[in-house]
Amino acid sequence: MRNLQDSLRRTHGNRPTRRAFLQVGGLGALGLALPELFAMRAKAQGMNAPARSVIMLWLWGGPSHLDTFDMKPDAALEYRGPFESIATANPALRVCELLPKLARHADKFSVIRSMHHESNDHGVAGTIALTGSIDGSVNLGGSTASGVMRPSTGAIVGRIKRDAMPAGSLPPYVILGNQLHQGLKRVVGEGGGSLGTPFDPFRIDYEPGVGLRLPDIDLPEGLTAERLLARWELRQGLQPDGLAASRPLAVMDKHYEMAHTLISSRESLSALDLNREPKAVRDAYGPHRFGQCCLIARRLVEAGLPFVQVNWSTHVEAPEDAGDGGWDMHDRYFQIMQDRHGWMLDRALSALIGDLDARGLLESTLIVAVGEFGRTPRINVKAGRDHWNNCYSALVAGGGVAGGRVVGASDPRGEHPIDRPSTPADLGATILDRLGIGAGDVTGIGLNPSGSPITELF
Amino acid sequence: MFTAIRPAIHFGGRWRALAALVVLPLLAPADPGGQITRLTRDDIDLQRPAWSSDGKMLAFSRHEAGGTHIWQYVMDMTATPPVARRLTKRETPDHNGVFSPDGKEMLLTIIPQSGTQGNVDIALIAVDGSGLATVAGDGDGGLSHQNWPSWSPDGSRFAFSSTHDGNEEIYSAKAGGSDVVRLTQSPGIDTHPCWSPRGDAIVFATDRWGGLELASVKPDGTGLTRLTTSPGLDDYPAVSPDGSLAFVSNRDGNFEIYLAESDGSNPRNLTRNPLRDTQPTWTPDGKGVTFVSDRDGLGDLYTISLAK
Repeated sequence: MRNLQDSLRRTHGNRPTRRAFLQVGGLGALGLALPELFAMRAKAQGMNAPARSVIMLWLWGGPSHLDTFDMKPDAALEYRGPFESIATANPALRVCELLPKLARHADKFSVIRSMHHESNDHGVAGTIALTGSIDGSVNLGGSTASGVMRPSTGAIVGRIKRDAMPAGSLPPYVILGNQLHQGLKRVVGEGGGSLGTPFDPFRIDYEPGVGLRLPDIDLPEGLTAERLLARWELRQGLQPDGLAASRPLAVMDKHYEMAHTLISSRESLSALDLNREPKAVRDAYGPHRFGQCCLIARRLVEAGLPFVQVNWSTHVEAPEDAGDGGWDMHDRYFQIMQDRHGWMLDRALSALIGDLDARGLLESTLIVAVGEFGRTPRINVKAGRDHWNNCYSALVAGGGVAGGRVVGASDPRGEHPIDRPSTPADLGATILDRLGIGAGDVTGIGLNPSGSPITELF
Repeated sequence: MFTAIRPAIHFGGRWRALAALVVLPLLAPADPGGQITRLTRDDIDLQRPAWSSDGKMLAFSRHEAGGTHIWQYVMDMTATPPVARRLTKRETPDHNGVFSPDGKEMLLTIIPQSGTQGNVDIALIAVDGSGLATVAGDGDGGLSHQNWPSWSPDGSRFAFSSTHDGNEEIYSAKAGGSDVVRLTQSPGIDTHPCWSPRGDAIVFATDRWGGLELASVKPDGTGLTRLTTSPGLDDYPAVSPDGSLAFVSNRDGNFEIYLAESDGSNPRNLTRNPLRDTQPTWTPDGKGVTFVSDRDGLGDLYTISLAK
């Protein structure tokens, strides 16, 4: 069997064709072990799909569509605000003047201007946006919606792609960032939901000036992820060959367990090492956390991970409101957009698109940039914008999505969709479709498919 | 009296001395500016630099702990190397501080209680960090968002922005917070006031003409005058001792520091750098402009001298 697999790899690299898989499947009676069958099936699943990986840029807190990708220059001052639109590489699209670098890549991405759903509560909207369903969501008041929480799109991808991951690699669903919060409340929806906690995301984070962090692990004071890994290597070196690997995980403390997960994946570990990047590339992404995490995401995709999510922040709120710089700007909005969020998004996202394109990876990597909702078209009494779930925008690029398209439209004030309304479930179905994950695959893991792919993007 | 201490700040689980922020000047050409001096090497986003009138202290606010805090610092520029310290011991944010003309006090923006999303006050505090008192707040239930204080040259009053009347306008008040006077009327945004050192005008940014443009009013609110006309954003005006303007503009597609005459004429790009330059303030002698720039990383402070 090993020879057959090797033969497949020699012929088709690490991505055997469907025909080859069927040939292998047909040979099951000749001795293919069940785990190998599952692995080969997983690898064959999606083999002809346009996208190999997804990078989800999660703009937590809710960016304003009117100040990013759905400008309304003809609206009254109380709606349009101070920012002007600029031309882009796509004649049909103008974007906010705070996004000049991104504008130059507008022929490589498309915008959906008609996203909407049913809740303006961060917690509920976050669950809807990440899972496609309100089921099991928890609102600011602590009330839980009925129904069983669906897994996030990333968790579904992780579940289906898990068996195709090379031995020792990082889990297939990685989030760069901490667990999401609204105020002091944790937000649900990033995890495995009904698939179970084994399909929760593996979390890594990066902090400028500090380095890599493992958010799920409360590291002792002063102990960085790098130092933890160095300790693990030392620990391994002091033990007889194979002893460490054979010890039950239960006897290890969780720090070393996590370290073991990382250290056992040399390829993934090197993917996390930003020092391997030229300074010019690091600089292009920007010095801020989100920019550097986008660069890590690109490296993880290069290493073969199928779904990487980059969280803009942990909290929805700005630091002035006890948050860490999310998009939830009820006040000081235009100042913060100019001083922070505008250039941070522009630099990181434009660098990511350009970098993937230059490496020939954009074609096989689907980028999605979206938050849980938009913001009120009418500027509020505190020179900010509030929550607006009735209409917002999403950016998509690469991975089988055509560039230079604008799908859907909003009304003259950006209050409601007037053409081709789309939901988070539709966006989730689009992601799965581009990865070659169809309704049958979703049903096969015990879930009901939801949403319909937004085919106007293809 | 101000006592310089060698501070350490908690950041990312490690303690780092802020004295390490300060570096020697980098000599680099700039047109029409001259020598550029890098004042900090922090790689943590800094905000709103402001000099004391004697040039011995530099105030700035600092985003830290992964962006979860923003706090006011004062840096003693007479120390070798200069040493920065936090102004307060508050847990909640304080920022955008500016020295009184006599250098003994500061006005700064404070968040009275975290998580309130909008209740932003202006407070007066001694430069040694004692005696914090709110001077523009939401005590009457009407004010919700006060920001960006700027002293009158005699220290008797200050200008600030407020959303007291339903949108962001410019106001002034006596230094103790009484006698609040509304200076602007526009359905949009009027923000970032700067009281001219000669005392004759308050320059601010407004979106009443589309985009953000600079305008000025007299201290009594009369004499509204438009100062700039450009595509994009003109913001963060700073008025020099001789009345010249420094401000940030993205009229060329990138945020740069511009200079102009007091009436806004003859605008010219001072910084000419492909990365963000913003939030200018004049050095006390009027011979240079201190600003925030990403040119070497994230949001450090620089001073560019003006070409002879």
